[in-house]
Amino acid sequence: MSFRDLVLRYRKDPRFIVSVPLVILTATSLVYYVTQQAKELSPEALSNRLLLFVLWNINLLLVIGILFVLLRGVVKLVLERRHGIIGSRFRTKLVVTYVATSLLPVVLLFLVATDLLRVSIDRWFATPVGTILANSEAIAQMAQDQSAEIAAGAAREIAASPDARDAAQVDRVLAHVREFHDVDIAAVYRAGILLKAQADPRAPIQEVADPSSRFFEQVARNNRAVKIDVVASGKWIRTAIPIAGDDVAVAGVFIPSAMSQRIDRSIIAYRDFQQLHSQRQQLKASQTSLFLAVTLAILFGTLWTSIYASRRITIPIKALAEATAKLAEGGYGHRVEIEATDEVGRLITSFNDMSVQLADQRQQLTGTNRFMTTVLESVSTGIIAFSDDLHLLSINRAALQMLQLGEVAPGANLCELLRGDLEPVAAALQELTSGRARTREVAVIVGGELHYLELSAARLGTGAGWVLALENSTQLVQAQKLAAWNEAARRIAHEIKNPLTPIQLSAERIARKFGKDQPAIEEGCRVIVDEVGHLKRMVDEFARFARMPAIHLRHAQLAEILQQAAGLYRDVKPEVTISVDVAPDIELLMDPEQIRRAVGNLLKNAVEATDRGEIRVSARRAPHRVVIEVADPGRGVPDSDKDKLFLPYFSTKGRGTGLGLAIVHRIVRDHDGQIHVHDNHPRGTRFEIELPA
Amino acid sequence: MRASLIAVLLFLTAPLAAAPPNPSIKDLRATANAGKVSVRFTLAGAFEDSEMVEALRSGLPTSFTYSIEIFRDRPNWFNDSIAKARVEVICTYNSLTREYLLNLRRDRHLVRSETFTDLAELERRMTTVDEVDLFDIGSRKPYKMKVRAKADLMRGWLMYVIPWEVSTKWREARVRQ
Repeated sequence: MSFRDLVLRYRKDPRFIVSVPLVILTATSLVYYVTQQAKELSPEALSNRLLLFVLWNINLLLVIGILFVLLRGVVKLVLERRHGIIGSRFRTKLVVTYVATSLLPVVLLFLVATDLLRVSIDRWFATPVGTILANSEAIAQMAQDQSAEIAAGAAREIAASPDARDAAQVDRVLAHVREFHDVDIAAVYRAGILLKAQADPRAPIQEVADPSSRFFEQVARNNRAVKIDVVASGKWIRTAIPIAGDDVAVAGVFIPSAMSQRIDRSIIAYRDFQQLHSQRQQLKASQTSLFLAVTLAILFGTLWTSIYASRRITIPIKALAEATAKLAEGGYGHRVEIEATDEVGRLITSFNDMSVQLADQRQQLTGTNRFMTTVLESVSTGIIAFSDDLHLLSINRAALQMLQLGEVAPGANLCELLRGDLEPVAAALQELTSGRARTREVAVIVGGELHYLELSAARLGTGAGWVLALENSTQLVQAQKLAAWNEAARRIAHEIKNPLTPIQLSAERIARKFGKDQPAIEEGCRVIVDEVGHLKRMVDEFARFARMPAIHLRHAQLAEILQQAAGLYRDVKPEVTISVDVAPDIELLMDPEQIRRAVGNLLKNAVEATDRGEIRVSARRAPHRVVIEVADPGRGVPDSDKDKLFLPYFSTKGRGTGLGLAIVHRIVRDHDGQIHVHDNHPRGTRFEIELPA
Repeated sequence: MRASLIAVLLFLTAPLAAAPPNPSIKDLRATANAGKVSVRFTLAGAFEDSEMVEALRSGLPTSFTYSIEIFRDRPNWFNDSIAKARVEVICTYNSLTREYLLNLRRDRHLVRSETFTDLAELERRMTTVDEVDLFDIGSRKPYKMKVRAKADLMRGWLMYVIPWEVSTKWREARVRQ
């Protein structure tokens, strides 16, 4: 796994986020510790270029890190704000507050501390210690200078002595000078090579080497040279004076270690002080860099922490806001899947509980709604809910079927929907909503059939609209009318039929007695007898209608019944043919005799109304029912007569009892079926009998 | 507000090093002989800075780094660098023996060490570069060559934080036969 993958993997890991500032702080502390330790070691360590280089690079890295984190955070915040991401403004405020509250004191502390440090460093060198050390060193140097001057005096005397160039006398001169000037060594060098020397036997002359050629060059150039040699047992101070030619007189003083060490310590102490003094700029730089590193580390940590903390705070808030938005859009049950243990955690828990409860309630409401919808869709009563300004809110299937409306979108204007044949409904609606009536019964022609609708309206609530219930009372009305006609037929049969037989018998007796002689009487009596016979047949029809037998249901093949019915009328008119189209497997629970009679009545009317052409009898399956159709290409039925067609004693033929279709209607009704009359295309009439299957 | 800003600026710029010395390369001469180029120049104004002398006398190692380049001079195009050399003189004062140890390194290799007791002599040796046969130009034409040199003297600190090298400007001279 590459470093980049590692970073991408752990960049949002809290442990990683906390670890980075900690590592930086630790590194800074380590550098600080090392610096503190370095103080005890040597002044060079403080101004060590490596240390300064390390500090400089740490500072540079920290500055780059801060700039990176800051710029990255700022860019992200700007982009988030531009895209309107929830929580970005809050995050911006948090980060700005964090940074502002930490930046100001940290920067102030840094400025004050570094200034204090610089002042303190300057004060170190302004103390009397410097003067004391300088004086001490000067005294030490003066002591050495004094020894050098003694040696110089001795060397000058050797150089000034004429015997110094005499090989036989030089030893004496050197011994005299050594004794007289109390130097530890007196010598003569020729061309840099020791010629003669006289030394104090107590002085460790063997510890010091002969001067270098550069020393003698300096003597030749400056007429004098001083050489200080530090040896194990002390310090040699030698001064050289040229004699003549290549000869050089050298005298030296040995300072024992007891004294030379003190001298050296003074010199070294002052040297160290001077080094520190010379390095005060570097010292200030290293200390300031260290302070800056700590400051930058704190700033980096603060910045990092602020961004992390703001993210930690805003993430649940953002999630809550997004979840609320989802909830508002209908996402009930949406949960915020973020772990939190603080107050925000409690808020998230409450939100999740609320969301779950809303989802449950929503589910219950949906169930109730579905139940109500199912009920409304399954009831035979039409239900229409509409607003106060007569805009549709909902409509059930029964209402759509009653009014023969297709798919209607909610919000449609009822006044526009209820036009044409449905205007009576609209008028009744206006009356009901105006409060002038609570229920209304209207007769409307829907799909070419007369329907009786009973309307009742109820207000849902103030401003909530109305609900309209439509009850199709067509069958009830027809049943009431049929019942009335049954009663009338029964009474007519009873009241009319009884006197008919005496009338007929009396007319026949009059004809037999007086008709032979008087043709007019015979003709009159015959007419009476014929009309009475006609009246009796009519009364019998009425009586049969009134005494319609109860149906006896059994399973029977529909095709057989229809074929039998068609067979009765197939040859009545030579130019009229009857075709039967029915599936052989249609079996129904019915009274076969009654159905045969009903279809026969329809075929009888069809044959009478048709001069030529084909009468089609067919049967087909439909959902939950079987539809029998009898279609003829005859004269057809005017629309104005269609609503009265199934009433007893209504006939368009001018003769007949007008009970045929009434009987058909009654048989169909007794089978819990329906019968409809439609115009046949291109001409004629088409009857539809729907029987439950 | 403006006064505060000025105060902060003054505060920040106060620690800037004092007016820096203005050392420069003088008397740059390059002489070619049998395909070899010897370079000689002096560094002027190096010890005008009292802090430099103070640091030297304190025993801290004090160094000058000379960068010398020889290149073919192409007036209307980039110069063609032929060779570079780096000469360092590092001086350390021994206050116990009152001697200055001068190490001379060329391209990071020690060339020679010398001891001085005379500060003036030391300064002269530190600021004088006389490198015989420093560059080998082979069969190239010397009059087309130029030599340039600069010296890095010391490191300062801008606002005590940003390292800042005190250097001379480059000085150029044409190679003479």
